[in-house]
Amino acid sequence: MNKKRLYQILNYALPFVTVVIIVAVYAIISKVVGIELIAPSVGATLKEFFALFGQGYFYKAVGGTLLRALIAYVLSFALALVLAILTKFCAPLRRAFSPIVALVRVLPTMSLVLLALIWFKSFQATVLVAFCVIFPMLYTGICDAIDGVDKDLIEMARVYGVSKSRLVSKLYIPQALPSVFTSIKSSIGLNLKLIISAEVLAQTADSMGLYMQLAKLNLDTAILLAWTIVAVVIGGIIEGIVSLIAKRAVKWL
Amino acid sequence: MRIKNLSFAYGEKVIFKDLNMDIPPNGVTCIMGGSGAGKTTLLNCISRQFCFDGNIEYDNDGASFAYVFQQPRLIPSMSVEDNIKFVLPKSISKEQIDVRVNDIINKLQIEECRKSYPSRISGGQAGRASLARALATDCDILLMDEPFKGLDVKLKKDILDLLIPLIRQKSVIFVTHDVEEALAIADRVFVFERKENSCVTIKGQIDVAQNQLDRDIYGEHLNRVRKEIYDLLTR
Repeated sequence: MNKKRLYQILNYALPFVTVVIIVAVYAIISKVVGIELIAPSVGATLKEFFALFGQGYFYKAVGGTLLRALIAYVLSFALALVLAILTKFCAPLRRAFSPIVALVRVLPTMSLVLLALIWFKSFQATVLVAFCVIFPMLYTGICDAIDGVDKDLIEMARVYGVSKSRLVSKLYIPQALPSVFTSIKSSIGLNLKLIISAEVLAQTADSMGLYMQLAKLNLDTAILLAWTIVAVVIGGIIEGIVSLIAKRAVKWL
Repeated sequence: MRIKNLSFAYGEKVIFKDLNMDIPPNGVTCIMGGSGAGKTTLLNCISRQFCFDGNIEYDNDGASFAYVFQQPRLIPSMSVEDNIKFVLPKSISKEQIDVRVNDIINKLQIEECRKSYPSRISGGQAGRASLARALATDCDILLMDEPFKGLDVKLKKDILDLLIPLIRQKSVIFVTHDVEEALAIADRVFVFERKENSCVTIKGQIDVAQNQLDRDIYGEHLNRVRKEIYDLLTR
């Protein structure tokens, strides 16, 4: 077997090996602790995990969480994109907007969750919490992506008298895409985590967070871990889809 | 082209002060001089990238420009062919664009890389693609800022051989540090000088006065021109 082939096999196999090691370490800890309530066995956790797929509420909860995550992310992305473009071409607007972004960025998530719960219904509150964290991340990322477009290429286009619409569609957007995808990849998983955290606190109906909270209240750690695995798997699938889209959209790199 | 009383400064740093130059049409005018002598700045003034005082009169009203930069400046997300199409005006029909692009790709021998992204082509191909983009525009004035910088001698000669027949009917302003490049392509050479805390002056102008197509760059005449240029550059 040549080195290249071996490298390819290792490239695909290593993530699985890492997962096996994590599971093995957890199995040892569970065995050492020996109390199902604190550290349930791998078998019991997997049993609960597969049992979830037979429950009607499981699909409702996953669907509800994903819907809230989608709404929060689409809102954050759309607003970040529009504002990044506007502020790029209007420097005073960027300066005026910067304190708001800075404020939202440093706002403690917990304060945000609690305030949102006081002011809004649980559905809106969860979306708002994720929006307030994800929006500044995406806005900064998209601004940096637009600023990072090669100035030499813009100068070249101007010398040749290329129209503004062509400049945006053929130069700015494709050149900004790799950095925009990097921002998306680093924020989309976090978005799901935030939604679930807010659901736990808001006890949102038909949500993964609610069932995690119920499992905790019932001291059913195996079910809590099973829901955690579901969240991890969903997060992994979403990030995988984004990576696949990024690979196809930025094929010149 | 007539440059009249051109004045330009980068903040406090004065580059040109009342510079006057006559550049005849249809020929290659080489601008030479040391680093910081205002060569690229002049190209940027001519192409109206910079705001300046004074006047530049073009031979045609509404003269169009093409610019070959030191680096090819190809857009990484587009194929070579699309890079060429990118700069062509919308007023040209799709059929005309195809004809023009095919023609220039053939002439500059970049057929094999026309569908490739810039990251997947050689430096020589990128240089030719950048020339193809400039020439496809059918501009009145072609500005070239050290377009062969960093290319090896053989590649430079190959590209010059392809380029010279294509630019005979154009007004070309060619910035270079390389005397051999100037001797191969120029009809006339201006040597710029800029002393510290001073503005640019034209140290000398040399007419090469020999057809580029059958030039003997080691012949008696061009050896004399070579010496004149070296003297001006090093004096």
